[in-house]
Amino acid sequence: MNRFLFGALLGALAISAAGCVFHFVQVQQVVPRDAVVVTSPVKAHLKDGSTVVYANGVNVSGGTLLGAGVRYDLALKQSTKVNTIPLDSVVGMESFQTRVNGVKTAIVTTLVTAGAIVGGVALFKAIFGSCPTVYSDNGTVAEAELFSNSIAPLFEARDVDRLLAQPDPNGILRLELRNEAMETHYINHLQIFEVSHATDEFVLPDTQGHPVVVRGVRTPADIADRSGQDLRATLSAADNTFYRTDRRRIDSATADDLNDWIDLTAAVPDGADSTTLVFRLRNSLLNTTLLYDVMLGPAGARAIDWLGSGLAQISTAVELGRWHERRAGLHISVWRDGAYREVARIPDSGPITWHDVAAVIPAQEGEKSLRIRLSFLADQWRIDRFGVASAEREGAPRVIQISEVTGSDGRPENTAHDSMSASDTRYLQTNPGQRFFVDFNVGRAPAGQSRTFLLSSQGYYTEWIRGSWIQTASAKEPFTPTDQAILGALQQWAATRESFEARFVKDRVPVH
Amino acid sequence: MARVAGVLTLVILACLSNGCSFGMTTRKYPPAQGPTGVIMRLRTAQGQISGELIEVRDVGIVVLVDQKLRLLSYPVILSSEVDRTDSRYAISQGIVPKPDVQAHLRLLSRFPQGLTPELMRQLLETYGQTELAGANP
Repeated sequence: MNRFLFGALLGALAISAAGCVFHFVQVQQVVPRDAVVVTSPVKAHLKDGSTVVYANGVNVSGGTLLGAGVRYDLALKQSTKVNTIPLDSVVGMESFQTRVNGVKTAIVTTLVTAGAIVGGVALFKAIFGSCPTVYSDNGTVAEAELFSNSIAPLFEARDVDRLLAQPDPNGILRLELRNEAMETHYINHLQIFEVSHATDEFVLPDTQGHPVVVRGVRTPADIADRSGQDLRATLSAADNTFYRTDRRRIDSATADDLNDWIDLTAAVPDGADSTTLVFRLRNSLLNTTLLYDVMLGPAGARAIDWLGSGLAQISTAVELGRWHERRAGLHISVWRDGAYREVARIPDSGPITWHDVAAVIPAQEGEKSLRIRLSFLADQWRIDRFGVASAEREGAPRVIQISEVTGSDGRPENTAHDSMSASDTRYLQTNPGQRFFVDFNVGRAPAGQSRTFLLSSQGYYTEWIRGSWIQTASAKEPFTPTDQAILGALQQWAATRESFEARFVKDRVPVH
Repeated sequence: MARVAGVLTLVILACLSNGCSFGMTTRKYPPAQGPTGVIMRLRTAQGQISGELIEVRDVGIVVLVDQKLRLLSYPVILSSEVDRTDSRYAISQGIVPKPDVQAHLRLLSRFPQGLTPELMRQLLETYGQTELAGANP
């Protein structure tokens, strides 16, 4: 046994030395012909020597480049925004794409597979999965889960979460950053937004992550679920009494009718050109079921290729991203011209902690109230509180960077500090069971003033492929995003939701 | 067995904590986000220079160094570094780079399609020049 253990350890050490996901940028010439859609950054070079930069890609159609671009003259002295450029004025184009080194991804695969087979311990049975988790007050207050949608490098994203935490008497705000899941976390940047406000005001991020300050939040008198059930009592307070989709709605879902919704009427404050909706919500574990049991589990070991190489391909990532944007999240629509028209979307926020978020809904001239529908996949959300603000203003945040990072043993972790101090090429990589304490020197509050702190985070994470998935893999093809796949997840979720919820948090990986 | 496996798992996790590396994405790669060419740091017999890659020619590269356009022929380039780009695309030892390296560098330059004589004249005029300077400052 000792020889076996020694060999396994040597193998683990060798693999861990190289175990990483590595990105690089690939630049390719694009042939400017009709019917080309490029979703990564593109530069087009024109006959007159000017250059058009399409940071978000471009669509070539009907003899024209279509997309939001910036045109720079020959000497880069002037720039103008452009949306259309005739194709016959273009002499060349190139695209830039982020790619992942597949060889090193494969090495990670080997490690995880070997770990699952050799280990076979409770750790690998853990079902808890939800990106980095953040706690305060000595680990007793769950504050946030970071960039929960970012399941691959190309999905790296920035999240903003409202914190309950306040600084200690010395002005230090301490957060505990944990990896409690069978995942590898890549944390690029952490910083704090401090917003000062009156005591009767409430600060939270909007759907774009910008701080907004609201007051007078009240649950509308007219608010009901799809079946007509009055939801005022359920949604009036942040009290853990929350809305979730009725089981009959889940059971009756079909691929053509997957949604649940809530209808309400929101007043537009006098003199305002918008109304602000205030949510406190979190995801159910339906997303987790979709990720584990439909997207990754059936593919077994092949899922790691899909997560690594597959999702490193722009087309695959875009396909998944578009499907996710269309299906996931909470969609806010306003009744206008005889139909509900989507005006805003709240992205998924993860299943663990309540997330406060505001949606500012523009009103048209003369509108005193708005007829609004909140629609979402059946049982995808837990909504604790919903209200409409009587007043809203933009928050003016003070940005505070990390002052110190320490490990579990209390020693400074300078590399971790440097890795998370800027949005750059450096990442703090954490593995299951790791934790760090991150300090922000926010100073003491001025007398008579309230402060709310928001955590801004950027990064992504990758799932570990479980041993049980490899043993029971059944899918021959990589995951394809379809509504039928969602229905499959919903049916699996419906069959297990109570027991899954009970086991979920209990099964988190202990930190050390 | 369970105890050994547990220890093994913990050690694997500990080993993993040391394993990390980074890479480049389009969002952080300046040539992907703006109109300029990639930045090159070059060493010649006259010393170190750093500038934007403007154009790649068969005989050398045109770089913008301190607001002056210079043509550096390949033989004068002793070594180079292409900002945030794989070292295999560097030019060194005065050797004319292979066609695939030239092609890649061309895509990273400000004008991958090259400049017509008229456009080059206009560009030189912008920097108060009538012709390209050489390797000497």
